[in-house]
Amino acid sequence: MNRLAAQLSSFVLAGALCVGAIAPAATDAQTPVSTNFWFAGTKLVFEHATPLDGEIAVSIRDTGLQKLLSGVGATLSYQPAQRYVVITAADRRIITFVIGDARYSAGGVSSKATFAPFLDGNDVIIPLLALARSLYIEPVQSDRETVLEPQLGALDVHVDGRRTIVTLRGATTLRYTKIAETPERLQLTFNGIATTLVPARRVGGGIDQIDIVNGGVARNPSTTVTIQAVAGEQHLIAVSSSPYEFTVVFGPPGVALDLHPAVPVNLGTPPPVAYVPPPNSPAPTMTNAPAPPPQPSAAASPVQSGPATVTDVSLVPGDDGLTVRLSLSAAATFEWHRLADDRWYVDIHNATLTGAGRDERPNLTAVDSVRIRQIGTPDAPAVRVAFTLRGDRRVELLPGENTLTIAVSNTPEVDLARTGSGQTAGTTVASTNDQVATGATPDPSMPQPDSTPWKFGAPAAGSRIIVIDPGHGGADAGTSHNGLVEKTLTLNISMRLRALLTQQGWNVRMTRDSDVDPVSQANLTAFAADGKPNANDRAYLQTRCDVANAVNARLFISIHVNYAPSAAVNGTTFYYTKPQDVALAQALEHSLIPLLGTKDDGVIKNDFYVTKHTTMPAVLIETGFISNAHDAALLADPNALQNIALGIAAGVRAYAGALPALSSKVDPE
Amino acid sequence: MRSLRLIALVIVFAAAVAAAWWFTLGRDRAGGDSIVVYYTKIDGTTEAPWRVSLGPARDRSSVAFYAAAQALAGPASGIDAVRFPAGTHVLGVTLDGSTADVDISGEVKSSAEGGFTETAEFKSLVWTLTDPQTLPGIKSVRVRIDGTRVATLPGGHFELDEPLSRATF
Repeated sequence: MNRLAAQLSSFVLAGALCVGAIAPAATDAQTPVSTNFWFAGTKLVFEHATPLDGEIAVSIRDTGLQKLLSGVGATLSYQPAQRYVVITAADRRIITFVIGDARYSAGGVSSKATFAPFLDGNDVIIPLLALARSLYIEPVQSDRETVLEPQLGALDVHVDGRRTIVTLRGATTLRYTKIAETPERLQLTFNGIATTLVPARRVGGGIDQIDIVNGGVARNPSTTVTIQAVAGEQHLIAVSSSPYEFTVVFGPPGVALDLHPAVPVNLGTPPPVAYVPPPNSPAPTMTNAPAPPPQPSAAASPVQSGPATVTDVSLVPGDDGLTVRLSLSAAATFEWHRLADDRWYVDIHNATLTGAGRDERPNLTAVDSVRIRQIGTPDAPAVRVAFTLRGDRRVELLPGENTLTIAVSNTPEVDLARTGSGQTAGTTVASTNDQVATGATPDPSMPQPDSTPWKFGAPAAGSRIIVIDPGHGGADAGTSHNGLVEKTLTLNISMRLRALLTQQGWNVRMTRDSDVDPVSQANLTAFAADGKPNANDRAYLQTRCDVANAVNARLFISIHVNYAPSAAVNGTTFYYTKPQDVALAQALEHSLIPLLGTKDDGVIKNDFYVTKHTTMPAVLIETGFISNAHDAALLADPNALQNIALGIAAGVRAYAGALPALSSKVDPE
Repeated sequence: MRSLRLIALVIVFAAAVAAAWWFTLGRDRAGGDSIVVYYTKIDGTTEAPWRVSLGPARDRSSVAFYAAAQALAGPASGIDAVRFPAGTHVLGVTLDGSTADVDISGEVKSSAEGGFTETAEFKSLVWTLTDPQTLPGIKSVRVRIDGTRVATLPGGHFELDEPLSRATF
């Protein structure tokens, strides 16, 4: 029994030795040596490399290896605690090594290295020469150095109808010199690159034969390629999508050889859009619009004002503070007061507020909260707009024909007038310091500050406000191809759409109406402060949403232009996020596609920021592909841009029906 | 008796070899010999599956990393597909419950050229990592870029700081 136990023990030991044999042979690679290589005209030093089993064991962190990979456009990925080392070549082939396994895969083809990659502490050691060959780099011994010779690694001949497409792929950027060229014959010398491709081959299609000849020396190789087509063929060297590829197309006369035909469009600048706002239409609102210029102070003059109704109240946060705009049905007088505890309010006399009051906490530098209330008695009604300011902030009153704009700026007010009055039918605003309200007891009817958070109410079905969002702007140009720039196109379409919707009677707000990328300081501050990532990008997009959310807009329509890597992709897409967006997207789809004549790419759900973070039905329209010849031609045509606007406007009409009647909401006009 | 000993020796040897294999290569084995990687066709919406052989590392961490690397590389050139920008590669994958947290290199930022491209790229990544055969239980993908969570790609459209699932698209 003891003898059997001893034998068992010896076999277990043998098994253990087997384990040791299979485990990585890390101990052979303990003595790093300075190993010098020559690659692409420069000396390449591997600091953590050592000969091993006829290979070179190299650390994936070696700076020489990093330079080599960079030189051939490859990337290496490895994450500790897992076993794959993945190298992606410039032509998207994947080379995979597995720790503990000598087999490796290159572009799906399995091979075996002389040793298995292994861990060395937190480092991974891989076979350099196996990797190099997978990247079309051939190690060549030359005297006392090893030259890593970039190779022409692949030659593809593809017959496409009557065309024959020849593609060469190299380890490095392919630079060539034309040696000879006739319509049916092309001879090129590729500099700095060698090849192990077969020297001559007869191929099909329109190609008769391809000859490949190595030249130069190990450090500075060259390869001459001669492509001989059949009689009568012509050729065109294609613009390749990768610098590591060379493509030439052969075909008989009359066959289009261009793989990426240029866009046949007139790329002139679209003409400016004539836009005349209707008499009572508010100016387009931009969140970063400069503060209105101050009005001269003047003595108040008596005004005969009848009963007025406040039909619209909009709050627009901006970089310089907050603008509150009241629309009135008739002229009105008003009186304002600044209290000692940083509160400020204005009473509009003989005025009635449509709907309930409003409480907002905009979280701005200048304003803590805003409250709008109906006050007074049935015989003497008044509407009060009250602010709790953050310190002594400048408040300017800008009376219009039937509007009153209150601009609260971040600028500290030095000359603290305490009270004043004016009228909306004129431009007079009087102020005085006579009634300094230091220690004044707040009016009991004054709404008291509360903790109501800044909120965007439920979408107002009766709202007459539509927000148009021209995509991108300013430093963010969006996509640019074929001489067209997305930010310019989206603004052009949006301005046309604004004019059409205004004619329909809608109150249109724009997130931008010039070449800017709107952003509010409040959002920049807020998103930076709450630690959320990428604060700037979020702030910019959220600002666009805020324009619509702050006024409970009826609809939000974002205009964009699309791009695809393939020139074949075309069409118009209607993106939505929320269930409530779908009907609007479908209405726009049904009205726009027949008018524009683009391919209908459909209504597609997506998590786009502006459709996700707006509280009303919202759609982002990718009007066409700037990268497609057909769509780009349309986008360069002012008539087509007008058709886009007409189609969207028709879709809005189909979706929203007749203009909503004045409702009990605050914001309808 | 001698033949009995011989049989015992063979059994013990086989067991030792099997143990050696299990300890070195097979311990993490899970799932099949290949995974399904998806790429988005040039229509921007259709996901095309292709099978990629797995190496001997089959633990979930390795498979997740390998699948993400494949999805970011896309199919070999010559196949029409919407690909991540050249040079985009995976920096790390962490599995957290039903979510795969994928750290992508900054090269991806250059793809913000329209909603089409962004959507198509991330759709292929999400579909690959939520394939029920490849990584059972993974339902969503959270993206980081160069180690940082982002709201969108710079100048982009697509919101990236919430986990993405197949239902996102």
